[in-house]
Amino acid sequence: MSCQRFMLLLHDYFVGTLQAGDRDFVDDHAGSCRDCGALMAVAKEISCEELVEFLNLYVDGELPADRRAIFERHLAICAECLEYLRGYRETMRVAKAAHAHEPEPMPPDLLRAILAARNPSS
Amino acid sequence: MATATPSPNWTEAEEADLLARMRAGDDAAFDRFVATLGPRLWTVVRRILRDEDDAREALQDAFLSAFKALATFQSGARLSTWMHRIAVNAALMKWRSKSRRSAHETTVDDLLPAFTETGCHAEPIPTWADRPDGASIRAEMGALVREQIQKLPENVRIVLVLRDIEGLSYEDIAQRLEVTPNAAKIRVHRARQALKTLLEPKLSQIQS
Repeated sequence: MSCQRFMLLLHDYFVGTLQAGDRDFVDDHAGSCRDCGALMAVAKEISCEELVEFLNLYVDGELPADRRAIFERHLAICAECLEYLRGYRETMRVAKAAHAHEPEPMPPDLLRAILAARNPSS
Repeated sequence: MATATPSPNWTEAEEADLLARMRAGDDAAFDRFVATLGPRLWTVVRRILRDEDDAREALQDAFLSAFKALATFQSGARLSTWMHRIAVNAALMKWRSKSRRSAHETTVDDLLPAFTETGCHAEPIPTWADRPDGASIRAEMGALVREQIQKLPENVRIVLVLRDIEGLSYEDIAQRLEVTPNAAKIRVHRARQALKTLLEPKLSQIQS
């Protein structure tokens, strides 16, 4: 029951909207329950803001292994950051895909102009 | 990341033959060179330059520069890769001359995600519709995405095009825009975030 209440309160704990009594409960429970304490430790490793700020380095595979592991632990427990990552990757994909077959043809007179400019005397 | 080079499917032998004929002044070889690479490179310069007249000038400048430099072209490189680089450079030179005259740096702060004082997401994150990896997108959606990219401020749009569409490295982008590689990375990141924000209300309505 305590673990269930802890999980319910955890999001608001990090957002900063919990009343003092509930905050104390979350802190006390994390200190006494091994599993919930481990979850709390992961949640405190990095904020959502910090993860999003450096998300490009994660996506581009440029984070050192230890930093990458912290990102992955956060993504494993934070549905919002996971959804943000999904949308970020999808944005990259559709931006590229939208340019795969562009309909705009080269103006025919431009081709002739280029060839004429090569040899203006002819 | 490899540069997204337009590939005309020429074999190395065909390229060598074409190069030799152009160096000898063979008009038919020049015709083939421009007719084959021109349409692909037109697409590239149009992605960089919004204005059609600017794009026309840039592509013409690119081909004329290449014709002058044919004598110094190093065998071993691909003609199409070399020409792609020249076209990107010509388009960026035009872009920079325009942006210097007209634009100050515009930020996309309004399009970036917001956070609480404790570093949590301040607003719910919209859920994107599921699309299979690698699935092509419909023409309607492609046009919508291109339209949203055009809404980005120029200094942000240009890095998105160079990195995520043309496939240039951060080092190449930094060199061409005269910024540090780290600044180029940050600007690309902001561009993707801003585009994501612009696309969110649209992509919930259109499925691929």
